[in-house]
Amino acid sequence: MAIMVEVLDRNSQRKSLHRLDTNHVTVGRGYEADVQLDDPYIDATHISIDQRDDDTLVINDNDSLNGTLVNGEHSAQASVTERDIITLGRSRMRVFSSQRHVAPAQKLNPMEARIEWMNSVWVAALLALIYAGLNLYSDYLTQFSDVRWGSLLGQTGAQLLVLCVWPLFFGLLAKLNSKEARLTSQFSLLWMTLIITFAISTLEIVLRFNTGQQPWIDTLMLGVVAIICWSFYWLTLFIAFHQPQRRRHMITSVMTFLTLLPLSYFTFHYSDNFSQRASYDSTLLPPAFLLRSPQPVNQLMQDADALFNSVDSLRDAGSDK
Amino acid sequence: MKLLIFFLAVCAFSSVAQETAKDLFNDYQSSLYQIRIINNDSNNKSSIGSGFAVSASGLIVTNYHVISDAVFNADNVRIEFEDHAGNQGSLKLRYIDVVNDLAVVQRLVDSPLPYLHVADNLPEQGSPIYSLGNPHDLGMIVVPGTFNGLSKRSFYQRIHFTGSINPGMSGGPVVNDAGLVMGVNVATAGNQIGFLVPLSPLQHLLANIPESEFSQEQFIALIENQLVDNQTDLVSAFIQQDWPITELGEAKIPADVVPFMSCWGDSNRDQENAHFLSVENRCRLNDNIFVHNSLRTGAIEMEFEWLQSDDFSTNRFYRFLSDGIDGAGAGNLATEEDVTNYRCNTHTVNNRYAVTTRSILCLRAYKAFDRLYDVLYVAASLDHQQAGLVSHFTLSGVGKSEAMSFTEKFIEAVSWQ
Repeated sequence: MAIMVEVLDRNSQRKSLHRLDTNHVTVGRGYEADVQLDDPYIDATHISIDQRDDDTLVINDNDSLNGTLVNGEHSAQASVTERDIITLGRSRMRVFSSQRHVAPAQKLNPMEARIEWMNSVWVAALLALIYAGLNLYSDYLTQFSDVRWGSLLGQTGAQLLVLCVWPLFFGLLAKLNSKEARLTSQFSLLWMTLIITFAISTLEIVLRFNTGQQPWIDTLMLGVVAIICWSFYWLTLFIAFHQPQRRRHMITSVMTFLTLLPLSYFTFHYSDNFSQRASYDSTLLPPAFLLRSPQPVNQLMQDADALFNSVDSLRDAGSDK
Repeated sequence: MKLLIFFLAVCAFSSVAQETAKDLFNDYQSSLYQIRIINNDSNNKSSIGSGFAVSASGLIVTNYHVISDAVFNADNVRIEFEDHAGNQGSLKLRYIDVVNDLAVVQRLVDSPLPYLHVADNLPEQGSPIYSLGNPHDLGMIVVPGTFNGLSKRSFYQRIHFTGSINPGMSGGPVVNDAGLVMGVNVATAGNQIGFLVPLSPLQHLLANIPESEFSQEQFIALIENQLVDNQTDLVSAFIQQDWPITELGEAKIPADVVPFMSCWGDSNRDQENAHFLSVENRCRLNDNIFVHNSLRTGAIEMEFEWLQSDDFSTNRFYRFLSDGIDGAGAGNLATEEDVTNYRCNTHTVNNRYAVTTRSILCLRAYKAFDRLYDVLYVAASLDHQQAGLVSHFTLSGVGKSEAMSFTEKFIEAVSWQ
């Protein structure tokens, strides 16, 4: 049997752990103490801890200047377990017996091995470069006067910088939880997600170009966005924290829901405010992207018939009000 | 000597013209009226125009646009007159011709009123005519001018008039030396230049005044019928003839399809730093029909633009072309009260000349007139790598079958050289 003294930081994360194979331990600033703490508000031998025969632990304050707090209450002598936080001066600690049972080991998620490649700086840099290139190209396509590469590069750079907030934020959160920041993996994940999004939105444009304005494309795209968001959030949390599976699933689902809520609102409840301009999708692609053969003019005329009916019902619906 | 005689003759003529104008003013002002639309809430006038009596029984002719509020806002306004002597009273609306912007109102009378006689024929070209009216609420005035014949570049019958007509003169008569009415002044906010409605629509109007008074619903139905008839004739004038074809870039497009459309061409070839060539051909029928303050109809636009660029890659060129068909809007003024929002269909079509286009057809329906629609069409060709044709038209206030026929004819009219 041994006494375990776990020194904690302000976030109750472990700073150091001491195992002492005896049934009487002293904690203080003096070098004669068994657990020595560098805290000016602590006496030389501030407290002593005794292990009784029944394995209970009792702490005794040795008439210290600033006293001892157990769970925030002053106490000269107290029986403590691993659930009690003991405060001496500005230091916090827990004291428990080495007999304490630990929780069974968690199964390592196979995902850990699968995302190992993301941890390479070269991969992160390459992905960032690809994304910047795609971004630059799509900006370039919409420049119809002289192309100002300087300002295009500036815009892309600024966009990349803003995007860096996400991995840095989660790296910081991980750090605060005394976990590895794993910034490289976070950056790789971010750039990879953006590249996938870019590819999917290109596919969407091709799909819309070949089908006209079909409402099912909106639903499909919302589904795809949901999958991308969920995977991205899940992996971000997976890299940053050691969470139980259930908890990670729950946080991911809530985050995805919060992202999709405004998105689906704008997709399905688009404003039909009156405008002198017609609203339609004007996106054109080069003839090579035309995957279906064009329709004859009489197909357009047949569909125009239905269009007349739809504005008729729009008019009749308005006059009922 | 000859010069002196000529000079004296000119002086004599102009003094005669001035004399005549003065005489006319004195002789006929008793037949002239100021027409006022009075708002029932404020009891103040919301618009004014001129009018003139055409019968001893108190029938007064004015412009439709002067009294349009009395049709569409009948519960809130009333029509009143003031004659030359300052007498005021109320007027009843009897009949309208929305297409030619004419209306007849009735003054209730006990004794026969002085009135102007409507001529049987238009005067000879070059004869002096006089526009009478009441501009800016300042009292009656006379504007002398010359009759230059009927406008040939208008779908509607219009008199070329050299004098200037101000907004308040709307509805005033145009008379000849003998005081016979030759036409009616029209000057709406939508038309910057004044023009005159000639004799025949006026004669037609007076011949069709109904015995009994129309209700508001009957007037709106009448307006719809007049618009439908007119727009059917107008669109038929387009559909029933072969369209002359002209070249634009590598395309062959219809141009100057009817004499009463005004067309312009333009190109940016002289711009040295442009990365693309743009050649345009735009035609527009400018005679808008005034329906009420916030609704004009009857406008037709046909526009083509050839775009070409050696500087742009194919991907970039098609982005550029996308901008060319983006944000097309209506060719006529209308508000949410008058029309529905646009609804559009998008197709990729091949016409009979194997011209492939991305075609967007949009419609909106008129809320007060079940048979009328505004049509908007915009298309871009998909047959070239770094060049393309943008075609566009708008029709306003047309029936379904006219809209369909015009759309089909327009799409089928484009070919490559």
